[in-house]
Amino acid sequence: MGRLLITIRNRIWSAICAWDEFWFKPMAPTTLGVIRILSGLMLLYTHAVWGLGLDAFFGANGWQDPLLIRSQAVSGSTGISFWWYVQPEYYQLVHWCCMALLLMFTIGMMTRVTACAAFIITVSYATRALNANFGLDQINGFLTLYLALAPCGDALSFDAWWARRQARRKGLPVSEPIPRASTRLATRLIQVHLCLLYFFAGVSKLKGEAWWNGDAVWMAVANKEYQSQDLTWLAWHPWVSHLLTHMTVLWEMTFFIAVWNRAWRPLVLAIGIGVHLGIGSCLGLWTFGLIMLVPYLSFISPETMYSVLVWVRAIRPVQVLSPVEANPVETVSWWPQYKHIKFTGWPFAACDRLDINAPRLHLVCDDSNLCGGLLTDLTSAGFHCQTSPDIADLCTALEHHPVDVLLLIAHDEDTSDDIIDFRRILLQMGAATPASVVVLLDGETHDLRHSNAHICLYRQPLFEQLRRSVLLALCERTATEEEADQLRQRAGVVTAPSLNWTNP
Amino acid sequence: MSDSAPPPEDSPPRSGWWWKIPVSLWVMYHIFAMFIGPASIPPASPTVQSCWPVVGPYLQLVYMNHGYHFFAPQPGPSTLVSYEATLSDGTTVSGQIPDLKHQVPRLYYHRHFMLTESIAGHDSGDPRIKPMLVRAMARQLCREHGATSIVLTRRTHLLPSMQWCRAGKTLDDPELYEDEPLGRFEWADF
Repeated sequence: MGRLLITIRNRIWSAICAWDEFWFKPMAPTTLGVIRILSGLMLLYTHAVWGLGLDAFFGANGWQDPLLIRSQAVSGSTGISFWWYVQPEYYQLVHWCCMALLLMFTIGMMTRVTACAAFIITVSYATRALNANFGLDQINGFLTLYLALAPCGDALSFDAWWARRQARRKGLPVSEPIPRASTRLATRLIQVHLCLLYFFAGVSKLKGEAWWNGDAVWMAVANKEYQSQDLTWLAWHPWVSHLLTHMTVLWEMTFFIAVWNRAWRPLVLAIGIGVHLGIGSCLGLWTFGLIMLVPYLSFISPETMYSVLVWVRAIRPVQVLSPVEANPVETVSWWPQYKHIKFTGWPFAACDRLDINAPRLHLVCDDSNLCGGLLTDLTSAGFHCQTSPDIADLCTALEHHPVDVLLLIAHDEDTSDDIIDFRRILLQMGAATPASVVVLLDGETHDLRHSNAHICLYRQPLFEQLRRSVLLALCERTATEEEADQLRQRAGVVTAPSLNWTNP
Repeated sequence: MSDSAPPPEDSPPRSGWWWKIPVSLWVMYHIFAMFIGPASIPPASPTVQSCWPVVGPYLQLVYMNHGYHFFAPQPGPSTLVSYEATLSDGTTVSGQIPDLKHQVPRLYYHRHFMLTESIAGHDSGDPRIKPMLVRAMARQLCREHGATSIVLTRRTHLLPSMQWCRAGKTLDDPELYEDEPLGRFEWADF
């Protein structure tokens, strides 16, 4: 019974950790910065077009008088809109103020304020001109809401440039934007919203006969008022319309599952890009087609986005200073550059006192099955665990998450170059590093340097041996000898199951 | 750790965990609301529709009360409005909305297109809305042209079948248009 309760507790804790990692793991703001810029550009265009007919669309005697809009209210509310309170003689002034705020939002100036303003502006225009809305406004709405929740001006923005400029003037180190939990939260909300949107878009199509008999795509392209490309040749090749119709429904209804699979994601997103570019080019809905692609960027990691931007020379790599030395090092961005530096003050997040009852362990393992098994056993053994698939991800995590001990799993000495290089740097830094245990599953080499705080294990050790080694490595990190004794006592207790390294 | 490195200047402050609880609760409510919004559009079960009061005002507030019915249940015919406005000097001006030639750029044309499409959207539902929509259109068109009276006609542009095109007919063949008079309006009535 006790074991069952422990298992249940561990499962609940694993679920909480998984939720925390999914929604709140700190994330760099690069991707969100790009989303902000592209959303802002579309907002500028959308609202510039509203400006062509302010009085017609928002006036009391225009296309949509107040009585008409209020009669259409749902749940007794028309939603928020400051246009209800603006006098006609001030329409142009208010409109141009809104345009200025949207421009500031786009370039990332006073972003915390202008992001909220962008959301209010978007919703105000859309809810006041209710009958002239379509999908573009819906996408603008949710993007601005989620961007208002996050520090979307921390990267690729005037705010970031200004902060770097001020830091240089004061002689302070210049650092890359800080990953934050709110960035991850906003990114995940965009992703989840997109999944729900496509799901209901697909499900709603099932109510229509044309999406079953394959004629829906033909009906869309044969609409003269939408048509921007002559696709009437489809009439002579109906199978094309049928195929595109069925593919559209299938893709929309499976998007919310397939996009989370790394192997399927590129295909799913590529189909979406084709769909929306097709909507833009063939139905004249360029604004809708393009804004639908902006949320797709949320599935690109900040690291990849950063690399792409550097590659296309949209940005220059930020020079990172070693916070330990407070001296500038050569320009680096990720792990491949760091391992070629003879000595570096690695910017680990500062650790406070080691909690021997819940040591923080970071597991690096590229085998997902093995990683899952190890994670469960390590959590049961009392470690507070995080994971990374490789050294590069570990480096990113270490910059912002304090860790007491690293557990690095390598297959053999020939394929573990990154791990071996990383350990060399760990050993150079002495007391400023977390402890480490390297496990070479299939290799055996005595070239790796040992110390009491940095242990190597070879040839598929039992889990008990692994657990004991981690605890012994931590002994060198305790503040008092009493705590070290407690760890040694725990290392001597035999309770954990053995670990099958070949079939975890 | 017995010998901690000095805190890096750019190291983020360690954030607590307590704030994650209310945020997580909001996230769960938000996702629930996003699901109920489109799911409660008829036909929907009474159980789902009973959840609407819990999320409806919130969805209205954050402008997320949408069904995401893009070209659903299926692409339909276009609704246009043609008009003939009589000016004070007795001359008449004819036109149609939306009008791709005069409403530029495309987004501006599309805004007007959505106005006329909303007439079709209110063929069913609250019977007060469609007359109000039409009246507002008549008033705005009179203002734009300085007209003393205007006659509006709803033109439904039916969608041609593939066989129609294979028979050599065009997408804007007059047979594809169905007209419905919407009424005559005098400027003095506004």
